[in-house]
Amino acid sequence: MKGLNKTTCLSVMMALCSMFVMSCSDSDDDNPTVETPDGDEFVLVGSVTNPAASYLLATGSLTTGSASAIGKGAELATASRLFKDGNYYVATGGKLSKYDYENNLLVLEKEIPLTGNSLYSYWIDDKTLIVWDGVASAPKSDLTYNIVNVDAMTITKTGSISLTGLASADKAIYMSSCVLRGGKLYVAYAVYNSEWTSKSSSYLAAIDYPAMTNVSISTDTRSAYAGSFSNVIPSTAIVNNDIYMITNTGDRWAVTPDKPSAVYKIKNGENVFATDYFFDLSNISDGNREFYGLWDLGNGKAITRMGKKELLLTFEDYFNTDVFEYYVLDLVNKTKTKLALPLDKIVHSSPVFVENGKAYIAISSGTEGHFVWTYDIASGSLTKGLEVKGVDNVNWISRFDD
Amino acid sequence: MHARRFLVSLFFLLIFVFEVSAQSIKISGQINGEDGSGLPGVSVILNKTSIGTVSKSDGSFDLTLTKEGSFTISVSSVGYISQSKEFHAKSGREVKFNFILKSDSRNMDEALILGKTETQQIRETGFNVNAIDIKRFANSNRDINQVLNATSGIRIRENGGLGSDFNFSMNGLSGRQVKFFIDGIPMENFGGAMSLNNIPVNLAERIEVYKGVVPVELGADALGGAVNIVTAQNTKKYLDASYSYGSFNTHRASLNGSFSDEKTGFVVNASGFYNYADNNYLMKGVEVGQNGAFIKKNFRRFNDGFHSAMGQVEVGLRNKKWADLLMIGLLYSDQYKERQTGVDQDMVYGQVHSYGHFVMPTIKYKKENFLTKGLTATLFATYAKNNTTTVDTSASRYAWDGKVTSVNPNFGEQGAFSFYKYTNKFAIIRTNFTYQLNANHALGLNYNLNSGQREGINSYKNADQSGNALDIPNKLGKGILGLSWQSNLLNDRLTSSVFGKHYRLHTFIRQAVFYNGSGYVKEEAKDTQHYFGYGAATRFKLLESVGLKASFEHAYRLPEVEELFGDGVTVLANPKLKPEESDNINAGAYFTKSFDQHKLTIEASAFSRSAKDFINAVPGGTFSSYTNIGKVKITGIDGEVKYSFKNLVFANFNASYTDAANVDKQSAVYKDRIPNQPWLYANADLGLGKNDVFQKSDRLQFNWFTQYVHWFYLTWPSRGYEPGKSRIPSQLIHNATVSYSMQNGKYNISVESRNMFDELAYDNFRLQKPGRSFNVKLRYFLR
Repeated sequence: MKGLNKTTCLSVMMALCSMFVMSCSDSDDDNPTVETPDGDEFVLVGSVTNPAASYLLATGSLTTGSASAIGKGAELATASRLFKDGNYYVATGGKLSKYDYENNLLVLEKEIPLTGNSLYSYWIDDKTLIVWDGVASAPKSDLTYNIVNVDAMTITKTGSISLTGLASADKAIYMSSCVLRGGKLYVAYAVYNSEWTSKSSSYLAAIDYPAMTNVSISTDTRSAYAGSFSNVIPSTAIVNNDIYMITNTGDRWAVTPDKPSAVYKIKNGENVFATDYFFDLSNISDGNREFYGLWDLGNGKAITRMGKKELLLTFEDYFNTDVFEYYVLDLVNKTKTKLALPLDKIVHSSPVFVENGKAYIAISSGTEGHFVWTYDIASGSLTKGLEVKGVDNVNWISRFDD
Repeated sequence: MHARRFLVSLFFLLIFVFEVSAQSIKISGQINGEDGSGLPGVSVILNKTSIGTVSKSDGSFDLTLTKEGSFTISVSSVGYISQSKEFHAKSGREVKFNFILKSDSRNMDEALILGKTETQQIRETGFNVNAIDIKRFANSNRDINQVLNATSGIRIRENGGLGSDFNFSMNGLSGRQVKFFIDGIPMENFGGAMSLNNIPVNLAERIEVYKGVVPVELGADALGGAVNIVTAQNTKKYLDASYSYGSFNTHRASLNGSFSDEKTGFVVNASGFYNYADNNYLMKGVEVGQNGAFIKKNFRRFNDGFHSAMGQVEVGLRNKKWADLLMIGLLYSDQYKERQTGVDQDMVYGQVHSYGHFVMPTIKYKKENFLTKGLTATLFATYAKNNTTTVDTSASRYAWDGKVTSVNPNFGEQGAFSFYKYTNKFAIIRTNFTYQLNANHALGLNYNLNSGQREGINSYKNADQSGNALDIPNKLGKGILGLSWQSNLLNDRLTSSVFGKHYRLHTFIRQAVFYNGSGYVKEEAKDTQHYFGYGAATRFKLLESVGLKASFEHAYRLPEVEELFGDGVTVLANPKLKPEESDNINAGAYFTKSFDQHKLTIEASAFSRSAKDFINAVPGGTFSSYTNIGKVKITGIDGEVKYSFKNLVFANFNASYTDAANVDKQSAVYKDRIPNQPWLYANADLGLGKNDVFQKSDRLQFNWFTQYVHWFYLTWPSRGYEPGKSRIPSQLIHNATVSYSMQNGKYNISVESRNMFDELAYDNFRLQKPGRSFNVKLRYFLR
């Protein structure tokens, strides 16, 4: 009996030992040292998914080196992409917060209350931000605005304007563009009817600025939903004081299958979409209506993104599949030229930044990695530059600090 | 990998042949009550040795001695006066005993220490299960959730006080991946009124927590495990009534009782509870706007009231020729709940609230030797209705000081104005058969059908219904059929259970929205899917006091209707959605030792969960949809140590460590620890008590309970600059209770303090939980 007990004990110990040795997977740093160019001149935002998180990555150069979110970058808690002069702003839930950026950390500097729900924020100029409320209870369509001086963090003016087009059976008004030109603020919006689609029409409001009076509203039915579905995606270009505005007819939001993607023009001194100009983008793209965003290159040229219909098969393809091509549009001559770039992903993104004759385009490619490409506007050349590591996609690029 | 290595070792262990020594002396006996019926679960030990056992269901027991000598045999059990006899054991001579135990309404704690209760027996099956004896907490003011939160491997994260939203996780899997049962009936459709965050402990007798591998008797698609609340099974008459009053204007009352007449077999059971709380605890350092800026101050919550009530009556017959038990019952419960914040404490609501009620008529039937000897049948059926209405109609915006800061006629407090009523009508049928093939083998068959329809209507100002969610009911039917084979081998040293489960999911929606590459279409959509799961659980007793366990299950979590077919408005259909799947492995050991009147129990288990195809929402704008994404590998270990000495000292310590990693190679964060999940936590519980302190048959008891949760990151650990990362800070919360009982537990009073040192505690980011609180509970227990 004694012998058996010993054997039993040994077996038990063996079994217990093998059970208690857990396989701990070493947390690999899958990248060796990454050299990020020093400085905060530029900012990129990269995101990881499931669960989602976004990181502010500052870099001194967009043309060389690499930026990484591994152990670096400041967490961004909201979808806000308001970067100016080294500061980061968040407008949400009736509050505007100003953060200072210093060495991977965002430090809260000041907060002020805002009127209304703070849904849409647009830069009027480098020191002025306008924050708009939204609407979710038709037919009321008084939209509150706050005009804020971000340097002093004071509200210069607050009030509301009345928009039209929202009937009692409708659902909401979504703001799609807000740009200042010649003493007037041009606000484009879409009216969502009781289902999930947008009314098949473009709405444009022209308002005297900064008085915020004398609202005149016009509609246009050649296309629908002028502007873009997100206020972080620009939709206008200014050519000789004329405003060119792209429309958002793609299926990701709004769904207006009867109207083509197009570019409108608001002539200098006028308040309506010019009837003698209509750049029908779908017509020169085999009926494709998946155009998103307009980034001004100057001299009548602009960049836009187009999703390839053959690749946008399911809802997730708007986020996880490489489907977007880049085109340079000649707004005056109404032509488009494809840029030789890898396919990009994620629709909710503003990955183009234009400065000093160059356009910097951040491409998130599943096969070729994440790189910032420099497009020389004059020569048309494309050069691969900064690499972005440690993220599932890059969805913002802009200047940050001088 | 190591789990597999362990299973191989176990296998070799199991094939050892155990020789029976020539020197073995058989001891056997019968233990009966005064009415002549056999008493199961009675503890039988030989004093000053490690030899002991528990009487079987018919009251018989047997032991084997390996040497001659003089011994004292002691038998003890809940509610009975213990007995001992001395005897002399001689080789070749069998010793037989006959005990007749007399009732004794002594308090519970002593019996728990010495006896092997049903709880202990469940622990000794092959499943990775925590069996929690609730009777210990009868004088405390805890809810079922708080008792579960003190168990190893379980972490419940709450947003506030009584009745607040909570997230339940078990070994790293959470939410819909864990299923809840009450007496084997699935609770998933019962609604908020019958929810673990406000059911008092007095309603239950014990709770069984099955981790990762679930027996077929609990028919559900439980990916992570199952919790089964077992209500009082006591067939004797009893009445348990209690009332407590505590901080934040909290009133709680509970009443449970049973009456039966032996002659006619008539039985009536009643249970009910009532909860009321203002939950106006102090929020520390919250922001209010003042003179164009924001400052931080302390304020009491002002829109967090909660009240709930439940009443259930069952009548029936017992011990008839055609039924061991036939009960017809009716349950009604309702609740009212205010909502103080959104996802973080800066989103303050002043008038958002919800209310609902639940009605469930039931029929229960049980018969042993149903149609044929050895076949036990149980049946449960109901057709129930649950509805919840959420109200968000205020245009006022509130701040923490309770004042209205502005009025925005465009939005309610949470978003669009709504008066949303959700109605769920469903039927549950549960049939369970056990067939005893012979003394050592049994077959089990369980079928659970949970089928119903739901609708939701926003009737704010007669809103247009043409684009509304669920205005035409959608349907969901889940049928789960399980078959198991249990065997006891090697003289009860080895038990094993092998099982297979068949899942059938039927869904139907009248207006699913599909994205088909050239626009959206709305159409009627239905689907029926079948899946097959399987598993095994085994327990090997090395000695009476030491056992090894191992279990495995290939488990599924079936998609909900909304995940598969959307809600007709803003959630798109994804008919290709697969169920969540996981391969769950557990391996554990337990050790129990009683000597003199000390008792020590040590349990440890290691687990692994390889889960994939998690169903997650892809967010955005007007639309969202659900998709299978995510591959996770979870490994971890839970351990528990329990010690008791007579009925004077009771101590329990448990700890859990979980390593959950993202193993999706396509992800940028491959191999990172899954964020926003606690991964290291521990509980310590100490009780000191004494009987006959001021007068005979009284008891004074003191309890100290501490919980620790280690800090964890809110977002992916390896991304972002570490000093700037958001985290949930570590928590160390202490609680204490003093209770005094008279006349063997008939009259009880207890005073309790939670979060005694007023720690600032968070389970979720920026949602403070209550600070220090007190309550007094009075309880009357008649047997």
